[in-house]
Amino acid sequence: MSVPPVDVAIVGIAVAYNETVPVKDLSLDVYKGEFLSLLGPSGCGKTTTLRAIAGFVAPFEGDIRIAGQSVLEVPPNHRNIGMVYQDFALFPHMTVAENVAFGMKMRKVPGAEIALRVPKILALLKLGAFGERYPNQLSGGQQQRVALARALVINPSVLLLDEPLASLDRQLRADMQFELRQLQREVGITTVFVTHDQEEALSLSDRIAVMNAGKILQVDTPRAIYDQPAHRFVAEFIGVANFMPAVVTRPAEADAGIELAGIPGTQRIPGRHAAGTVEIMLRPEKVTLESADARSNDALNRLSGRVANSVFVGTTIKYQVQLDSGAMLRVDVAAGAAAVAPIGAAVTLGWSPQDARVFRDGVAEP
Amino acid sequence: MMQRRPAFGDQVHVVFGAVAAAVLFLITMPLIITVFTAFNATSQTVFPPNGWSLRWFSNIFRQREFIDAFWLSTALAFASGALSMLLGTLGAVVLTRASFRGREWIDGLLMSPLIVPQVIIGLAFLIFYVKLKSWSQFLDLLLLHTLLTLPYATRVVRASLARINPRLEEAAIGLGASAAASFVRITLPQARSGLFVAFFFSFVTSFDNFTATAFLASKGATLPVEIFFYIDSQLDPTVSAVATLLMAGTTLFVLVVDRLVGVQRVT
Amino acid sequence: MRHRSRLALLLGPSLLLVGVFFAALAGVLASSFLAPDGTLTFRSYAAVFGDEYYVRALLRSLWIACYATAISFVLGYPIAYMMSRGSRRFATIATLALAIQFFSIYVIKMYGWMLVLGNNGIINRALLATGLADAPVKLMYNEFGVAVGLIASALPLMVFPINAVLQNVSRRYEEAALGLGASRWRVLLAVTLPLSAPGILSGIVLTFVFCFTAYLTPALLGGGFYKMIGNVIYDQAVGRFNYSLAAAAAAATLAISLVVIVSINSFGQRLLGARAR
Repeated sequence: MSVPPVDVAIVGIAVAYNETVPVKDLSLDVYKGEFLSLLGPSGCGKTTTLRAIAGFVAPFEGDIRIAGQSVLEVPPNHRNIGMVYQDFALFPHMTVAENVAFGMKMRKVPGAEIALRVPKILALLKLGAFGERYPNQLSGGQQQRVALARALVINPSVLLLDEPLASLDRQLRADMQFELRQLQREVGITTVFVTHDQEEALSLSDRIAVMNAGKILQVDTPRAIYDQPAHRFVAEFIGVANFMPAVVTRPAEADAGIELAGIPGTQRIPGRHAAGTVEIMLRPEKVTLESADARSNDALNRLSGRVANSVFVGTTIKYQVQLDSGAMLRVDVAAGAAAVAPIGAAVTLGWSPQDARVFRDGVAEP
Repeated sequence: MMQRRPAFGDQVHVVFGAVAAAVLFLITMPLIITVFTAFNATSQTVFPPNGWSLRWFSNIFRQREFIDAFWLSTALAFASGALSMLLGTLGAVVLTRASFRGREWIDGLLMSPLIVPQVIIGLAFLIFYVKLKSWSQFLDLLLLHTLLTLPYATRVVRASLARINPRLEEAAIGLGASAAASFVRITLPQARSGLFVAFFFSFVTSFDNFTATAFLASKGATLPVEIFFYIDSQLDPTVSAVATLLMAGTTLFVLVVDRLVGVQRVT
Repeated sequence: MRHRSRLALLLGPSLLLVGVFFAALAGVLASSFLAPDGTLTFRSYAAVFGDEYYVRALLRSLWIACYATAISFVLGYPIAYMMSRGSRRFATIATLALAIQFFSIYVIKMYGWMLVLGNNGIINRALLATGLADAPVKLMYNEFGVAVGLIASALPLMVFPINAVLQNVSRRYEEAALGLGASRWRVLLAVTLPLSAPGILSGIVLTFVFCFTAYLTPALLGGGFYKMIGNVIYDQAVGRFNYSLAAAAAAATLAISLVVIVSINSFGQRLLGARAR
């Protein structure tokens, strides 16, 4: 497997923005042609990072390189970066065609060439009929496409997207996700996408960088981020996670033995782990659920409890199970498999060591 | 206990509506009467007029002072309006776009001429010109009127700049425009009506100003001062005729502005 | 620091102008303390506060400003209320009427009131014609005329800020109070009025200062028989060239205005601050 060349390199930047430092010592490599999402809660510094790439925020430490060249000394109007904003920032006093032509005019592209390129990009984005309209005469989805056309027509070296789907309604957002991804593949442009919506990041990205409090916690493929979160925060922020406090009682064994808080008996976790307090993370769909008297449960680790609540959501049944220790566990069961266990029913939960993730002080252990 | 709605509807609306309508009628009435008295046949300013005539309109043009004062006021209002619009725009750009320490302070300083009473501003400029330096009546008044209208202009332009999404300028820069180009091509076109309103507001404020101006100018000055001295000495319908012409002019002006930017934005 | 120098360049002309203004205001203060020979003196202040004529003018101005402001509020609030709560047609008419007031020249508005209130004015002619009076009633060149003129010209100052606040107060609050069983008057007193407090406060400040420091209205409708502090300042400065006395009276006027502004604002802050808590 060959690794594509690094297109955008962020090297240990720190940014002072309104006298606080939401971003410090941040490093990130974006590969050529990939779609990378910066994912995190609001205020985590993801937009600041994006604006630093665009040049609207100046880092006082570190470096930003595009195609190997440092761009810190390049003013934003010469960085050749395409940017799409959450509110699209279309110029309200210009037509769609004028909006799209603006970047080329600024680059002194000859009028004849502009006249050729504008219809081309409008056609690519299915906007052919809207060239003479004003932005306020367009729907949200159309405005979004105009913003993309305006950003792409200048042949930018990088495309930056600042939550461009957030202001669209649900159905349109789902459609635009597919369109956006398809367009990005066709054009083959290196893209950095900022979002706080984990589902959007999972479904769109080649890789996701999860951010919190000005730092990147983990950069990996969506699959790896979901299955092997490196931090407690990542596990919590992406998907649903159960955390159970535990003490490692048999550290030396190949599959270490632990005791869960308030639950008698030894359970197994994968690999060797030092003695001490840890947290066990389990995704709800990785836990099996059976009636307490079924006895067929062959899982290595077992827990007993009672159904506290259940919700049917079509493909799955979502349970909340109260363990004997009093702790609550979320369990998702495929809806086709079994009848819904009634509230109050005694159940046995099972889980495999390889599905668990072990966190010590919020950091995952291998 | 059950609350019952009064059968005839909302009492508050009935009472307030009556008071509001009466008050609005009362404060408009003197202006209507002024217009009617302008067409009086005799030199009595009475309503209803005792006979109709246009003689007081033609009398205006025999009063050189009114004509001169009108042109002085117009020139002054035009110059101070243009100056305020220009300076106000520069100031508003800084106040909306830049963030720096002491911005609140500077904002307060620029608005301060609105808080200080007119008599005190007038006296201050009188003493300033008497003790330090006086250029010419026009320049002295221009300085005063620009100061009086600058807060309005700054505020109006600032409000219209604040309505413009700052991301637009940023987007333009991202697309390759220089800071100056993005201001001229993106921001200014959208603030155009704001600039016009600022000029208009300043023009009207300057043209109307009496109290501060009166300290610097006796006879032979702006139109409001001229009218004041005329009323003080005699009460014939000439002033009614002047008022009528001014009101007609103002109405025309307002209609034109309404066409251009919408009167809602002005008041 | 290219950035800073650009700020200075853009703000420079405006700040220079304001600088001249403050220099001129400082000149007023200086004149009030300087004797003709250049020495420091309180003589002008002693002259103002030692002379019953000036003290009376000050007290008279304070008194008329107080009740003119109160009446402006009572008459202005219904207008602002109906502009935001009444029918669309009313709002249009009221906006038009206030726009006429705004665009009409102050001197001419006062001239119009002279035509209404004078001995030969419409009111007296009506009274005489109907036999309700057999001699003209004195409606101007006295306190009554001045008060009418002040209230009429100050009304927009009261209405605009209240209207601006009321436009942004959601009517859902009032509907909620009605739904909870409050009467319309109760809703007005308990919900609408408190929610419009910021507008009322700035309306009161603007109206009070305008009335307290009025010059033109007492000059025309008082006709020399009812002099306010503004007239005193003007007479001394323009008529008698007595700048130091005018300056002392102006400084006193400004100080009183500032005290009133600050106390109304701090009262308002306490009122609104208490609500926020």
